[in-house]
Amino acid sequence: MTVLIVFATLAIGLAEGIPLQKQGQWKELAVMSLLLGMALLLIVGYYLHLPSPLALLQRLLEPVGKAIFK
Amino acid sequence: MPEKEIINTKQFVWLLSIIITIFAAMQIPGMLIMQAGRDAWLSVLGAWFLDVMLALVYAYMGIRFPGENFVQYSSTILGKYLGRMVGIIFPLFFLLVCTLLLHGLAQTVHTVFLPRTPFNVILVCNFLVCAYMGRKGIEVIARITEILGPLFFLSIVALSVLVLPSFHLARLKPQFDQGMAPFLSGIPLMLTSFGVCIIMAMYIPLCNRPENGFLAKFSAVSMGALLVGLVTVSSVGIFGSEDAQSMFSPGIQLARMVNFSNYFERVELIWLVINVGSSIVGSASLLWAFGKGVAQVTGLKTSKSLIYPGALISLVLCIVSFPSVMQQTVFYHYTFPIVAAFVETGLELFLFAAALILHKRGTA
Repeated sequence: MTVLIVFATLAIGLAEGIPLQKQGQWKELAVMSLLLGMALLLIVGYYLHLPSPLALLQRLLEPVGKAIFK
Repeated sequence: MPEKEIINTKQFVWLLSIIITIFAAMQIPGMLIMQAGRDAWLSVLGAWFLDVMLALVYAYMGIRFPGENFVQYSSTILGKYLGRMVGIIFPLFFLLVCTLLLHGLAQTVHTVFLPRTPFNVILVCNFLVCAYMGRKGIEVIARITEILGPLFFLSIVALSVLVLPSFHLARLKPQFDQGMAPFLSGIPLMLTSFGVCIIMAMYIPLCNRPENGFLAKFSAVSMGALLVGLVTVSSVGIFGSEDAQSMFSPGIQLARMVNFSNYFERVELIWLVINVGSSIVGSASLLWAFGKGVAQVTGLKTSKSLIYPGALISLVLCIVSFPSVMQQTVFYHYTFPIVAAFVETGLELFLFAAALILHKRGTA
């Protein structure tokens, strides 16, 4: 799955990035690259057994949820 | 030039009601019955009332800041930097809801209908369709909801009517046998699911009649509450609260019960098709809201190029955060309501109070 995600990141980067670069929309290109970078970071983190942001959120808030709900 | 999209009030209502119903009806009835037992349907009513009250705030803010959604009026109220920090929370929340919704859908399809197909294949297919639709923009999504919305509504009403012969009113009695606590604790669980309709604040500036924002939300939440209420009541009345609470998706179990003299069976497939369609449309709309929100926070002219990257992040979050079915259910039950309560109620009320105290108004 990691390979698929890396491939998808490259594919999206090329498909969306080339038109943006041709139109000179550098800000759009930067934000899009940032989002793709985040996706890559998440999957690399998973590969390295780092906790995901939702796992951290869960660790923080689950005790509160368990105190309120059955 | 910034994108200009327009939807009408009818589309607004269907967009909202599909998101509310599909998010609340997929997994929540089982959890709600576990929480509130036989009083679950009363929790739905209580959540509906509180959500309508919350809608007043959202509609008022929509009128006070004409042409602006909450991402934009966060900056108007709190200033450029603090406003952007608060504003980015809303699109991130939509991405979280999209992640949960598509994971829940893949889970339903995998568990109930395609157990031999790898889970990730179903998940990736969901994301491909959803991202493609989200990139087409809100006008396209809104037109699809005009067809799917009534179908979805009618399918749940028809389902409830068809399972009526197996319904036992006695299973709903006595009410409040364990006091008010189960009923009261069920309300926030339900409210946080209905609260996803804060996405209305993204639609109001696009609606051709923004003053209808409250009416649209009222209609959508009422429809959503009716449908979730019907699924909940039918599940308790047919399976009993003890059995219904352990079901993954009581709605599908209800659909499986429908048959006419062995000639007309497996209607859950029809129900599933409508469910899948509605989930995809709802998720596409959430992805669109994410792209739009991020584009507004970062000051981009177009949000279209952010839809596929957003979908990819959401897909990766599904894979890395919920490797098993149980993990998503636990997150949905215990963590999501706390996050949702903070964003849907806390943050919006904070902006409302700040706008009143600082005397801020929209300039349009």
